[in-house]
Amino acid sequence: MAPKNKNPNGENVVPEVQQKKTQALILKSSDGEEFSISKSAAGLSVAIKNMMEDDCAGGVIPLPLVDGGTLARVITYLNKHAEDGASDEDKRKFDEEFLSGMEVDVLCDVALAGNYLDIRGLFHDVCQRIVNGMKNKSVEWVRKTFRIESDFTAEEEEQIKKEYAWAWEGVDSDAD
Amino acid sequence: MDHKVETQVDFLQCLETDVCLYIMSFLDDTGDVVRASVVSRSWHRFVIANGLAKRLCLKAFPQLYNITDVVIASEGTVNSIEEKTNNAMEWEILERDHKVYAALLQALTRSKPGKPIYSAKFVRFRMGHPKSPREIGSDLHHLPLQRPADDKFVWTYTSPEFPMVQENRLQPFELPKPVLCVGGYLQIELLGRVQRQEMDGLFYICVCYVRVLGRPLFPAFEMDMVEPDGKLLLKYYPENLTSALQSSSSTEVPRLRHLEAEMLAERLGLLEDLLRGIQQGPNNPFIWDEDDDDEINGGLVL
Repeated sequence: MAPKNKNPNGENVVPEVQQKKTQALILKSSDGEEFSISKSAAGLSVAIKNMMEDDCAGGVIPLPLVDGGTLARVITYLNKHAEDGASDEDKRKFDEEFLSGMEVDVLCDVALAGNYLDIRGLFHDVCQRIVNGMKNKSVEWVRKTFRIESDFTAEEEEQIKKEYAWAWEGVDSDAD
Repeated sequence: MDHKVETQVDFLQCLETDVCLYIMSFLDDTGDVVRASVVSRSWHRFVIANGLAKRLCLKAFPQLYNITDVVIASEGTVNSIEEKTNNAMEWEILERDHKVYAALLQALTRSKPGKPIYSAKFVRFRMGHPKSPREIGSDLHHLPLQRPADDKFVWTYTSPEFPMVQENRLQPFELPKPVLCVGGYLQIELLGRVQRQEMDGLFYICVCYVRVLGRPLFPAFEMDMVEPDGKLLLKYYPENLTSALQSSSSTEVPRLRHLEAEMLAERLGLLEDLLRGIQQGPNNPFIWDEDDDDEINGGLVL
């Protein structure tokens, strides 16, 4: 899709009324991928909306903090939420499926993008999803999930466990 | 399109602090917060430096906002850290906050199965009226509720002692025969203590929900007190007798409050009492609100 709106003679002729609904924007990821998105979908991102309003967009909006893979996911989300016929129930279902398929590293990327692009609903849901991976889980489980190596000594860890013994009661078993 | 090699997923390392804080704000259990602090040194720093335990505690119990400083009694006074550098001191305060608020929140919200039941061994009911209604007025709050207040009341009926079950549930007690309650005051005496509090070794008893079932004789009959000698004047309104005779004793089991409201009330009650205990010091026992439900049957209220 061409970023510029010109007729075959090279003149800018897009009627303004029509422009609002149908015209697409181009979002450019940090790694140079370009994605086309309708203005109504892009407007669900407060950051992009502001850029459109400030008219500093010029048809192509560069997003230097979002890589292509993440941006594709974000656009899928925005398109669904901008869909005319989609009920709240549809969207909820979509969100559930959309997020449940993501690994933790993807969730983190999407969280970062959701925050940067100021898409509140997405950001909120992703953050919650990340934390759900920690609730009532063992320390070892959290380390494995987030690929963290402990730099505590065994003695230090034991000391804290002893002091807060109650926090280790009734924790889910690591067996998945 | 994954151009990153083995992506960093330790989000506390790779996301901005405010994003991390937002993520961690979804943790709603004090145990989760404490365990998060053991994941690695950087997680430990994050949890403590940002006061996650305190945030969580204040969110659940906003009444605690008034606490400006905490001291761990066994660790000496605040003065002992005065010689340290500002940073070290600040860190020490943060660590102490973490310890205290995590423990406090755990004490306030600990799971049901481990909850002690602060029931009494026996319960006894007395009915009566104040010696001087003018003195008492309608405000019972200034009465010393922990003491019988015998000097201010005339008790015209004392029930037998009913044994209480050491369980957290509604317990109905039926008076052996109908009793006329003149003046409308009912006193519940909780006799004998069972539950010793782990924290301080003192005994606590309490009652959370009371419903008295009876039948009003008003508006057919009314009692006035003739002060100052405390004599009673019985008033009869013949035109209201029919309605008084028709009103029957309510026998249906009280509907339990909505669970959420109940939990909230329980938490607030718990906190209020805990704070009262804090104010008064460990030697003044406070009531730790729990669900001991009583139902008393058979009284006639006038």
